[in-house]
Amino acid sequence: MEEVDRIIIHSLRSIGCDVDDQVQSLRQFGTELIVATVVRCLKIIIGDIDLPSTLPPGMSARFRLGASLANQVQDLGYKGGDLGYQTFLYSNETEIRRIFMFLVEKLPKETSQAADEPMGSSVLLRRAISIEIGTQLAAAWTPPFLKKKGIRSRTKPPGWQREGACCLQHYHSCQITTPTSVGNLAVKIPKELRAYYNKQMPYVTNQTPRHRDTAPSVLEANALEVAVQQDWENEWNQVGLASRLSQQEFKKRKQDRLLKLIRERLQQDSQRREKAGGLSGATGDLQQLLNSIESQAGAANVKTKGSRFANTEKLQYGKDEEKTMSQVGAAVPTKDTEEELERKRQEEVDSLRSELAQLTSDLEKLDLEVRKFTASKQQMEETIGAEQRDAEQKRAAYSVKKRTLDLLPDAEANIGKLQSVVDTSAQRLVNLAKQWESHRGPLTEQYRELRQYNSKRESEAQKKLEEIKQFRARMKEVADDARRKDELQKQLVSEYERMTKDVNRSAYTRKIMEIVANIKKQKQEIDKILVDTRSVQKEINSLTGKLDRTFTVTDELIFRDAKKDEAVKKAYRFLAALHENFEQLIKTVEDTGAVVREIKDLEDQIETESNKKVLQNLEKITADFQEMKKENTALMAKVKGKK
Amino acid sequence: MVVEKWEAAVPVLQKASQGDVETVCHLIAESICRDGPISADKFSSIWSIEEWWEVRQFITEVLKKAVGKSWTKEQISEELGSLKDDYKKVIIDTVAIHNLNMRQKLVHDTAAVSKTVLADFDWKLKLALSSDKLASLQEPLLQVDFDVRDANGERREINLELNRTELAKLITSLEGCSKSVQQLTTS
Repeated sequence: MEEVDRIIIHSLRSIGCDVDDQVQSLRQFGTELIVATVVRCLKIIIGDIDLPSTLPPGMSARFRLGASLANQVQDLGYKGGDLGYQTFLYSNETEIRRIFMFLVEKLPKETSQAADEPMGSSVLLRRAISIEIGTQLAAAWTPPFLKKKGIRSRTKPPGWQREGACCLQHYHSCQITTPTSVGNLAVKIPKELRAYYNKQMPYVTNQTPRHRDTAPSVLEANALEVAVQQDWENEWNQVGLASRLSQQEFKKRKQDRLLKLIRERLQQDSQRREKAGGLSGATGDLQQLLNSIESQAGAANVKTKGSRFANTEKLQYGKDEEKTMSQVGAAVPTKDTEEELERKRQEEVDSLRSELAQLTSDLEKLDLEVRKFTASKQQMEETIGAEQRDAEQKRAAYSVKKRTLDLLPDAEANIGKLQSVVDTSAQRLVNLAKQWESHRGPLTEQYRELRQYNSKRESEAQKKLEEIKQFRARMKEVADDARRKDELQKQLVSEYERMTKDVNRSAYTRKIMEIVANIKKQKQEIDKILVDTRSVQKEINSLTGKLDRTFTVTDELIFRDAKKDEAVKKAYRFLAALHENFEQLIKTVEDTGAVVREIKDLEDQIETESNKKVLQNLEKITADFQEMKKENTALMAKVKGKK
Repeated sequence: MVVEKWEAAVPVLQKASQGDVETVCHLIAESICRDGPISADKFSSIWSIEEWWEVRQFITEVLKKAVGKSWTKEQISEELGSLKDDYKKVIIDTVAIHNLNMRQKLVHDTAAVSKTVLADFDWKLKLALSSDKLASLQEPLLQVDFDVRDANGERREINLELNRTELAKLITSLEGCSKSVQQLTTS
C-alpha cells in the first residue's frame, strides 16, 4: 500500500497541492488536507468549478461542502461504493485511497501528450502564439484612456501586452555622433575636439529630435558600423589579399579608380550632350553654365586633387552657383514703365534673335571651313611624309652608287683590300661570337635559376593565400556551426524544462516492476507452503490409517487371547481405554487449532475495525453534532429575537 | 574675397560672448549634419529674432562653404574678414571638429539630387494566423515601408505588404541593382 500512497502523493504534489514533505502515506491525511486536495483535483479535471479550497468554519457549510464533493466525484463516474459527506469529513483510509486512485487516474495527461508530439521550434512558437492570443481574447475590453501608451498589464499570467494601434511608431533613426577613440590612448585627440567632447557635445538621448528615436538610432549606428566592417573584411579577403598591397594603398587605389571613372562618365555625358544638343537655346545655356562651372572649379581647386565630381559637389553649396546664375541672367533690365518694358523686351528679343541667327550661320560657316582646313591639312601631311620617305631612299641609293664609282679606277687593289677587310671582319665576328657565347652561358644559367626560384616563391605565396582563404572560410563555418549549436542547445533546454514533470515516469515503471517481481515471489512462497501443507495432510492420513490397522490387528489378537486368559482380558480393556483416550486427545488438539485460527481471524477483524477510526470518528461526529445543535439553537434564538 | 553680407553679420555676432558663439556654432553644425531645426529660445536674451536669423544664416553659409571647398585655416580667417581673432578661432575649430560629418552629409545630399530618392525604410514581420476562408493559414507577411523623398525634399511613404514569393522577387531585383553598382565600382 505504501507504494500506491507514494505515487498518489507524488501526483498530488505535481498538480500543485500543498502536501507536507513529511507526509508519506494516506493515513497521515487530515480532514482539511483531504478536502483541499480533492477540491484541487476536481478543479483540474473539470476546470471551472466553484468550490472553496479550505474547510469553512461553520458546521453546516462543511456538511454542504462534503455533500457537493461527493456529488462531483460521483458525476465523474466513481463506482466504488456509496459516497457521502461522511466519506470526506469522517475519513477512512481505504475509502480515501480508492477515491484518490480514481481521481489521479482521471487527471488530464497533458504532459504525456505533449511529449508525444515532435517539438520543433515552430511548434513551440505557434503554441506560444495561440496561448497569448487566447489570453488576450479572454480579457475584457478596456477603453483606450485607461491604457497608457496602449500598454495593458495583467496579473494572470503576469505580464503586459500592447493593445490598439494608436501608439505604434516607426523604426525611424537619425544620425548620431559619439566620441571616437577616447579609450585608445595611442590615438591622439586634438585639443579642441577633446574640449568639444567635454563641454558641448549633447548626450545621445538629446541628439535625436524625438526622444523615441533614440533606441533605433543607437541600434542603427551600431549595425552600420558592424556592416561596414564586415563589408570591408569581405572585400579585403576576396580582392585585397590577392593584390598584395597594404590596406592604405589598396584603399587609395580604389578611390583613385572611382574618381577616374566618375570623371570619365561626366566628360562623356557632357560631350554627348554637346553633340546631341547642338545649338538649341536651352542646352546652350546649360553648356555655358557647365563650362563656367568647370573653369571656376579648375581655378579654385588647384591644390586639391580635382576630380570633376568633387568639384561639382563642392559647388552645389557654394556661392559660385549663384554667381553663374546671375551671369546667365545678367541681361535682366531695370524696372521701367510696363509698356516701355514690354517694347524694350520685344526689341531686345528681336535683336538677340537676329544676332543669334547670324551667329549661328557664321558659326556653321566657320565650322565647315575648319573642317575643310583640317581635311586638307591631313592630306598635306600625308603627302609630305610620303615625299620625305622617297627622298630618304633616293639619298641612300645615291651614296652607295657614289662609293662604287669611286672604287672603280683602281679595281684590282681595291678588291684585294676589300677582301682583306672582309676577312678581318669575319675573323672579328667569330671572335665576338665566341666571347658572347662564353658570357652568355653562365648568365642564361643564372637567369633560369632565378626564374625558377621566383616561380617557386610565387606558387608558394599563392598556396599560402589559398590556405588563408580556406582558413577564413573554415573560421566562418565553425562560427556558424557554433551559433547553430547554441540555438539548438537553447531550444533543447527549453524543451527539457517543459518535460521535467515526466522525470518520475521511469521511477514509476521501475517500482511497478519491483512490485510485480515481489508478487511473483510471494506467489511462489504461497505455492510452496500449500504443497507443504498437502504433504503434511497426506502424512497425517497415512499415519491415521496405519494406526487404525495396527489397532484392529492388536484388537483381534488380544480379543482371541482374552477368551482364554483373565489377565489378557484386563489388557484388552486397557487397550480400549487407551485408544479412546488418544482419540479424545487428537480431537482436542484439532479443536485448539480451530480456536486459534478463529482467534486470529477475530484479531484481524479488530484491527480493520480499529483502522476505520470508528471511535475517533464517532467522537468527532458527536462533537460536530453538538456544535450543529448549538448553531441551530443560536439560529433559533436569533429567529425568536427577530420575532 | 570678403562677402559683404558676411561683413554685415560680424557686429551682430560679436554681441555674444565667445562661449555662446561656440555653442551656437556647434548647434548649427549638428543641425546641418542631421537636418534638424534649432530653437531660437536659447539665445533670445542675446539676439532678437531677426538678428538670430542673420547669425544662423551667416554661420551656416560659412560652415558649408568651408567644408565644401576644403578651405585651410588661413583661408577661413581671411574669408571672415573683420571678425575678431577669438571668434575666428571658434569657427575654425568648429569646422575642424565637424569636418568629416558635414562633408559626408554634403556628399550624401549631392548624391541624392535625382528625381526621387529612397531616404529610409522600415519593415515589420507579421504572421497571418488565419483568413476568411482558412482557419489555419500560418503565412508570414512582410510589411515594408519605403520613405521616398522627391526633388523638392517632400517625403512620401510607400507601403507594401509582401508574401514570401513577392519578397523573393523584390530581393532578387534589389540584388540585381546592387550587382550592377558593384560592377560599376570594381570594373
